[in-house]
This record gives sequence, structure tokens and C-alpha cells, in this order.
Amino acid sequence: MRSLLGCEKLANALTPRDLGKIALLFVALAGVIVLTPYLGLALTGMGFMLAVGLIIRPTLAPAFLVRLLPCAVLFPLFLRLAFGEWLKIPVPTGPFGL
Amino acid sequence: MDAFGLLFEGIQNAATPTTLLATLFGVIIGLLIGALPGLGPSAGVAIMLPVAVSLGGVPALACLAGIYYGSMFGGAITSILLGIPGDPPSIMTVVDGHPLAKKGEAGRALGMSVFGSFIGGLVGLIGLATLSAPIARAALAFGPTEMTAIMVLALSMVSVLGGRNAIKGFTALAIGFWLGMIGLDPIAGPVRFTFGSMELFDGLDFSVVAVGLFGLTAMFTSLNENVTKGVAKFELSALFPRVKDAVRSRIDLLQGAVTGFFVGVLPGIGATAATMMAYAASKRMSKTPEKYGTGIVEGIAAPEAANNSASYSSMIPLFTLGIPGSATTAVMMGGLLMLGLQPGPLLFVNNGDFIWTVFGSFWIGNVMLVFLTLLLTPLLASLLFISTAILYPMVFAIIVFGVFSIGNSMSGVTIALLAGFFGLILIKLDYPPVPLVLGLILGPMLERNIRRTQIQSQGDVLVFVERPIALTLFVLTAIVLLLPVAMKLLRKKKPLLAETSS
Repeated sequence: MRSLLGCEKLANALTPRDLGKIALLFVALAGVIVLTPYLGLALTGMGFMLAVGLIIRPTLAPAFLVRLLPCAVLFPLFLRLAFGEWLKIPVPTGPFGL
Repeated sequence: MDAFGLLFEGIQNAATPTTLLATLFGVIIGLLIGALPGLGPSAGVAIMLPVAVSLGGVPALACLAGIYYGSMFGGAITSILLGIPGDPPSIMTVVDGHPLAKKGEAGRALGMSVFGSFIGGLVGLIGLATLSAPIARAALAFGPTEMTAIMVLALSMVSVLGGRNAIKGFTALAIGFWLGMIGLDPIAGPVRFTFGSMELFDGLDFSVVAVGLFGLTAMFTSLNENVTKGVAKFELSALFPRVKDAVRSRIDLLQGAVTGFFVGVLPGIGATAATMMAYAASKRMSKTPEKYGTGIVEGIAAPEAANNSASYSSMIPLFTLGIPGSATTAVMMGGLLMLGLQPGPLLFVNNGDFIWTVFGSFWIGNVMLVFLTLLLTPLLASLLFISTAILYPMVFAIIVFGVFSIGNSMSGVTIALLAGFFGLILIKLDYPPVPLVLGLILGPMLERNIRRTQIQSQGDVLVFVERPIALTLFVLTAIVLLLPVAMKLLRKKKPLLAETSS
């Protein structure tokens, strides 16, 4: 309660910028929960990874995007293959069978 | 058959391609997680729990344990090369490891850390194999009364010793108990705290909560942890431990491994405290204590042996009594439950082959890690320079796919998200999350045991102190709870006495 009331000094306090990033990450994760039944986990995962990358490092610098984009596209496809085909998990499927 | 015979048989059984591959996968992931600042063994095991469990049986547990002790090996690499501890147990390795690296002897420091980790793992594993079966046999005589007493002792230790503020520990424990009560009443049957949601009838899935509480929270709090420091230079040939160093540090290695073993077995204390104690003991025993902190191999040997030994010994209460003593073993308990296995003394009776094969896989993993750490050190060091903006989206995606696969439903992702949010609040308000998780796991077990005892004794509460084992355990609990208060009072009295005498 002392912490909640602000009577105790907290170490590693979050900066407003950190809080903003975390809030946006929550929104992105909530987006995954809402959109997965419509778009499937692989396609939603692609959008999600892209969003997370840009939330953590908000820049459109080509050097960064060139690394982020292939990861955001290929990694969810790999996970779709690993979970859906190898581990036989009924992963939600969306357009294009993804 | 004696413990070593059973262990040898377990090693033979674990040498199947599937288990070997699962162990290899686990230790590599563990090394990566250990090397990354911000993600520790508990977060790593929690994140990989759904993936590992889908491997099933022995490979699943071999993979989870591989992540655990792999991260113990991996944590030292960043501590030595960059002066940044990869996980809390490797904090003490920074003290002498980084100065030694700065002197241009990074390879020597890494070599000693690998050797120390191996020796610590070996001692921990021998202790795990020799003590587990006798403890489990003794625990078979435990009824619900004794189990209640032992759980109360474990929970009091975690809450009192787990953090700097015992009240916060108990508050987190109470929240965990409450969360554990969600769902159907285990004895009478009515529904509790489900707020009309059908999905909460079976209670909260512990593994999903663990992913949120440890995995997501660790990531939320380390979003900006990009490494900008330069890495210390080393040569691959220098990574192999020198015989001279090993001989010179033999006492420190043994002392560290033994200290780590005994500290690790106690619930709530953990590998970090074990490394600190081992380092302090090593310094005290040394003829040249002034050299500690300047970069000497003895200062690396003791904490590295201690943290790996502790990682094995912390599994003893989990496997023999069904009581996890740390965050990582709590998550591993979730894995055992997901595999349909109830940790506790009966595990050795009903699934003896399984458990000895799992111990055998630990042995293989420990040997595997020596070679893998030496081979992968350059890769692990370079991994640190990958931006979290590239690495974390991948880990988040693994979490989403993994949590979905636990219950084949997106409701798990929602619960993990809420647990992550709650974990963030806990961390930032300095409330330890470990008592909460243990409350969530052990709360329902404790409730069942208390109510069974009460039914057997027809409501007589004195039954808890009539049995000698239960009474001893309750007395120990009282000591654990009252000792810090008594010490505090004594410390306050001392200055007063000094003042009056002067």
C-alpha cells in the first residue's frame, strides 16, 4: 500500500515514453486477439510483428525496415508451419489458407 | 538398484534421437535467453513452455530443463564480455569476469565459467540423483496433514526470504491464493469468482498466467535494452579451460558447488543468493582476498559452480514433494501438470522410468552445454547487438502462437496479456511475482489438503499439531516467520543499549 500511495520511492520507474510503448504493445496484442478469427494467426502475426518492431523503434529508416519486413513476413509463416504442420495444432486459418 | 545405477539406466534411455534433439534445442534456446539481458531463466522457460510441452513426455521436460540450465551457462557470457549480466544469477560473475576480460584474458574467464558451470552442474546432478529417491520415499508416509505443514513452510520461506519486504511477499501470495480459487470448488463443487464466464470454470491455466507474468513482463520492462558497449576481444583457442586454473580454483569450485546445492534446495532463496554466498565464502577462504574484484579466475569459479548447482538442487523439492521453490521450477511444474504428471513422491513410484530418464537427459544436457557454449560463444556475443526491435517481435510472435496452442483458443492470449499487465504493476511496485505464482499453484493444493484433513478429523484443528512431523514443520514455519522480526527488534535494541551504557 505504501508503494501505491507513493510513500515509498520506486526504483526503475517507467518513463512516460516507456509507458506509451507498453500501452501500444497492449493495443497491438489486443488487435491480435480481435483479428485472428478473421485473418488467421499467420497474417495477423505478420501485422503484429511489424507493429511491435515499429513500436519499439519508431522509425521508417530504410536500413531498419529492410531487416524488419522480411522477419515480419517469414517468421509467422515459419511458426504457422511449425505449429500447424509439425506440432499439429489447429492454428486459425484466414485468407489464402494462411 | 542404487541411485547411480538408475541414473546410468536413465542416461541410456535418454540417448534416443528425439530426447537428444529436444535437449539440444532446449540448451541452445537456453544459451540464447541467458545471453540476452532482460530475459532470465523463468521468462525463457515460460515463453518456451507451450512449444516444449507439445514435444510430449521426456523430450518436453528435457527441453524445458535444457532451457533452464542453458540460460545459467549463457548468462556468464555477457557478464564476462560486456560487463552486463545476462540474468540475475550471473551478477557475481561480472565482478571478476569482466575485469579479467578487460585485461585481455576474456577467453580464460569464459573457459573457467564453462568449467565452473560444468562442475557445479555435476555436483548438483549427483545430489539430485542421490537425494531425490530417499526424500520421495520418506514423503510417501506424508498424509494431508504433513503435506499442509510442508506447503505452509515452503510458502512462508518464499514470502519471507524471496524479497526485501515480507509484507509485499505475503500480499502477492494472498493474490495468488485468490487467483487459485477461481473456478470450481475442489471439494464441494460450487463455482467461485468466475463472474459468469464459462471459460473460467476450470480455473486459470497456470502456464498461461506464467507466460504473461514472467515472459511478457520481462519483455515489457526491457524494451529499450539495446547494447551499445564494445565487446571484449577473445580468441577461440583461449576458450578452453586451463588445467592450471582448474587446479588453482579446485577448492572454490567445490565450495561454490556445495553452497549452491544447499542454498538452491531451499524454497525462495534461489541461485542469485547462492552465487553471492559462494563468492563471499570464496573471498573469505582466500589467502589473497584483496585480489577479488580485480579479475581472478577463483572469483569466477565459485559463483558459476554455485548457480548451476543451485539450478539442479532447486528441482529436488519439485520432483520429490511437488513444491516448486523458485519461479523457474514453478513454471516447470506447470509443464509437468500439462503432461498429465503430478509432481510429488508418487512420481517416483508411478513414473520411475520417466523420472530417471529425465535425470539422464539432464546429465547429457550438462555435457552438451560444455561443447555448445565453447562453440557458440562468438555467436551468442554477436546476438547481443541485434536490436530488440527485431528480436522482440519474434519472441512476441512465439508467445502468441505458443499460448494459443495451450488451449487452442485465443482466450489464453487474453489471460496472458492481463497477467503481463498485472506482472508489470507488481514489478514496478516492487511486489515479488514468485509468491503470487506459488500461491496460484499451491493454493488449490493447500486448500484441498486442509479440507481433507478437516473432514478426516471432523473439524478438529488440533490434528495439525498432534502429528510429530507436522508439528516440527509448523515450528520451523514459526521460526522462519518470527526470526526476521526478532532480528529487527534486536538490531533496534543494540544502539539503545549502547547509548544507555555510554
